[in-house]
Amino acid sequence: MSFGHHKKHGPFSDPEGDAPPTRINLTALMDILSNIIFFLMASFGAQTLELTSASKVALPSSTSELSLKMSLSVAVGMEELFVEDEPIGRLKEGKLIGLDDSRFHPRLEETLRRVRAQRIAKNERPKEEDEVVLFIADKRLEYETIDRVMKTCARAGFTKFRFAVAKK
Amino acid sequence: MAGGGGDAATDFDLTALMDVLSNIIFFLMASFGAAVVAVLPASVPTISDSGENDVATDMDKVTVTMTIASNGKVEISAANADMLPEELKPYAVVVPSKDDGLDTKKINDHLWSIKEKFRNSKNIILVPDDKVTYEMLVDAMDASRERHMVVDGQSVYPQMFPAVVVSSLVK
Repeated sequence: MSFGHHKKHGPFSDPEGDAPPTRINLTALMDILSNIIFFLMASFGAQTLELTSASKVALPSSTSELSLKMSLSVAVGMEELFVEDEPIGRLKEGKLIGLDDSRFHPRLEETLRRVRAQRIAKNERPKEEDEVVLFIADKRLEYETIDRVMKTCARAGFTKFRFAVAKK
Repeated sequence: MAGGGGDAATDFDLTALMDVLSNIIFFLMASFGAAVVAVLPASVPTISDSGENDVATDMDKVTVTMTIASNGKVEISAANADMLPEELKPYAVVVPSKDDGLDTKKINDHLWSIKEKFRNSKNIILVPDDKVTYEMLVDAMDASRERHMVVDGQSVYPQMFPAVVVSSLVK
């Protein structure tokens, strides 16, 4: 029968007790975690950046799975019209105020032309994203209003749109 | 001597940093999952410099036009510059409204029958009435974009008409 003192050993400790405790090398795991964080932060930023002006806009729901990409945003609420978060026009009961004789919105056109010129001046070659509008509109708006905004965008050189929708 | 060292290399304790990173990851993953915004591509009609015709010319494709009334009634027709209107007449239908909205099931069924006949078709022109709401327009785009099918017990979504041009009637 043994009455001697028994030293308890952990799973990573040396039974003999003369070697240093084993350390787990966390460097590779840190690399993986850092990569995941960068990916998630990039995706998260792209999702939220463009929709800050759309807080008063009730988006229509859709089955589309296409993810949001950054481009020039035009937001139309029931009361206000924004380009890149800058209010540039007003609506009354969902109808645009301040249309010209040709039923275009002069301030919207002027703003878009200015933004387009700035973007083209910045890039040697025009990118596809420079000609696309992220269109954020309230689901209650009638097509008459949507049509006026889209045609004004087209006259300013933006003929392609991405409609922002809420996923079903 | 410079560079001479002690017996043991210095170890950084990364455990606390791991805790912080793990928390950030959980937060970001939760937020990422809650991101509910998607996009639908569309365009408006333009005057082409090259003189290209918007209407399909190959025999295996057509350009579909869908007129949407404010009460949800929809008229669908198909066009091809190289085909006689009589040949495409069977594909022209009127889909009545359902519960004051679009009958998306019938619209989807009919568009799928066109897609099956003209496999390379992908363009659709939507012509909404002035009083059609933006929500109804998005519903029409959903109904025309893809088809839900079950193959070998798995859901598949073949594309139908993903290239959307939103137009309006000339007044």
